[in-house]
Amino acid sequence: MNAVLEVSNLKTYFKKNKKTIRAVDGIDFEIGKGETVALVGESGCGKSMTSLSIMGLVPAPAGKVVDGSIKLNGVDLVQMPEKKMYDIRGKEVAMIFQEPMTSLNPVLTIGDQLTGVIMHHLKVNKKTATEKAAEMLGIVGFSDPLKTLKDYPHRLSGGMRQRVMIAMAMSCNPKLLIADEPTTALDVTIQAQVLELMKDLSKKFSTSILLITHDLGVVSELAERVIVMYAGQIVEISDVDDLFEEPLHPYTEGLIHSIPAIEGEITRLQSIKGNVPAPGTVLPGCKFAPRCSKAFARCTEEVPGMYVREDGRCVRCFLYDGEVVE
Amino acid sequence: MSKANILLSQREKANERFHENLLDVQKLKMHFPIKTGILQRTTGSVKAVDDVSFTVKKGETLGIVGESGCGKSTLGRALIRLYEPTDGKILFGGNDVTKLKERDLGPVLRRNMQMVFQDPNASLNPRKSLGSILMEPLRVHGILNSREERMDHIAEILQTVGLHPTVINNYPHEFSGGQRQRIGIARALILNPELIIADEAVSALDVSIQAQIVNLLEDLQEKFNLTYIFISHDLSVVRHISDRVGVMYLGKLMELSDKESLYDEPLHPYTQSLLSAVPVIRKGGAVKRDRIILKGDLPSPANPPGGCVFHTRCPYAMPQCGSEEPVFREVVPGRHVACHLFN
Repeated sequence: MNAVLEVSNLKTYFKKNKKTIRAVDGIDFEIGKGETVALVGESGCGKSMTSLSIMGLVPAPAGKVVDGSIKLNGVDLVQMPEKKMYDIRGKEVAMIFQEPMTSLNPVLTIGDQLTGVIMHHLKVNKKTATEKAAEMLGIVGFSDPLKTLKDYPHRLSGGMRQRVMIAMAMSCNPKLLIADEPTTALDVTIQAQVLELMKDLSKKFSTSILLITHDLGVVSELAERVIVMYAGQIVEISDVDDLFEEPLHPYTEGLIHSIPAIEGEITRLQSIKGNVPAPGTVLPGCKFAPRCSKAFARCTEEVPGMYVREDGRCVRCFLYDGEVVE
Repeated sequence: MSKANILLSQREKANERFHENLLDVQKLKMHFPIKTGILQRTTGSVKAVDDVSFTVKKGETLGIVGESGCGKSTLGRALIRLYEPTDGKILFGGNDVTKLKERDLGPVLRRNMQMVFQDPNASLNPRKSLGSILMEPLRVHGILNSREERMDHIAEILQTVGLHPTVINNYPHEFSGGQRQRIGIARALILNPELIIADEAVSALDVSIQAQIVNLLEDLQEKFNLTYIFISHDLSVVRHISDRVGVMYLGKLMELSDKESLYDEPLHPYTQSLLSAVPVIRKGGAVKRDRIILKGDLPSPANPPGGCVFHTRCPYAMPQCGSEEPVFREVVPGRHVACHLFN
């Protein structure tokens, strides 16, 4: 598969009170053309920081990508000077955020915001840009795009604002779309609409999507492959069906069993004991060991590597030692 | 005998005069005026809760689901009299609490009905230590006499909700989100109430922590024979925790049923589409359910559609639905629906 995005050994660290916080601690993954990959994990696991690293938006000077590379079609974004990143962001990689109200400018019309992006990246005049903007709004399901162009964000509902964000993100036909919790702030009936839309668009434009979410239901709807992160590291990479059928890592298993089902038998929820480790905690062994129900002596002494199984699934857990090691 | 147990036995005595229905809500309305212009004339009203009737039995969990703006949180707040209801009646343990005066609210209502809020960051005072957060309700309601007794009771409640009593002098920011929600629950529990209204109590938490809190709520219900009204937008969690479930849309109850029938065979078209919209984890090529995607957005609650409020988005809407409001009534024993399809 031709990888659109290749992330290798990415490390994003933060300095806080002279302590180093390893928000992203050496992760490797790739996303193929037209593929939808979900990045799953609980708050503080580093999933959002991964996306900001790709976008080159890590809050400086506290945070910094200290090691590794992020290759978009072979070009390393980490080494890219800031000025050049302006042309990458929005054109090659676009992003949609969780809360569409805070990511749209409240004092500019939808039209101004959409055409601004299009004029900058596609180097076209205002008239062409407006036509393109109206076309995009039509694609994301606005019945009267020309009227919407003149509206301000506060006049739109949450679902409609998220559609505007999607229209803006897709307007320059990016190779990679990063969707950071795109439907978390939306109601279920609106979420269903937006998920349908994202599915259609990724097919239509064969855009690769990096979907960042904590909602495993959304993952199951949209993604083909799943990356599970815990405390800054990837603990498992699997195809979506395999992951839900047979989760390998004890953390993934715990995560899946923590969710109450919408159908079938109701049993007591299996929670994962304890809390996510505080950022900056350094453990000698596996980061999940203190919460893991299957932990044994080795887990607290040695850091597990990534084991790649014969079927291609990767898991960072000593339970799978003896199978092929990368 | 521990203090919690003493409180519990006192309450059991008091319960003997209580009706089987702990809470009886009759045609409750909560309208907020819309004021415009310099003179602030009332030009309309947002009917956040409009003509809602239901009962809650002792010891059960009633789930209330709906999308944002449907009035589920307003309902919870009106029940505990954080708002003055516009019209209707709230009977709590046989007493009419709808028109209680401010000074009677404490002993009659708040002492026995407590609330757990969604965002533990916003609902805990950042300048107060855990000890004083939990001491305040005891002081206000004059429960237990000495400081030592109260401290013992606080320590006991902390252990009940899974926090170590040594953290009593810590401030809210020193706790994680899950721990803060445990504090919120401890604060609700410390007065040993009859009924706890949990408004999106687990929505802000990560799934692994959410499961811990849901389990905790279930354990507490068993231990203290609590009654819950569990308000949430998360249909899966509501299904897990509730005995009966009410579905709200634009201030109205659309359907109220026991959980099994509601989730297995939803009657109201809105409930059907709501359930079908939930993204489901599919295992091993399980058959995808048919999804009913609703058109458009929720109409403004300030200007709700006439007739049935759902008719603008309903896939089964008939001419009658636009003109005549359906009555919320029992169509099958134990199942209430407001829809013309079931006339």
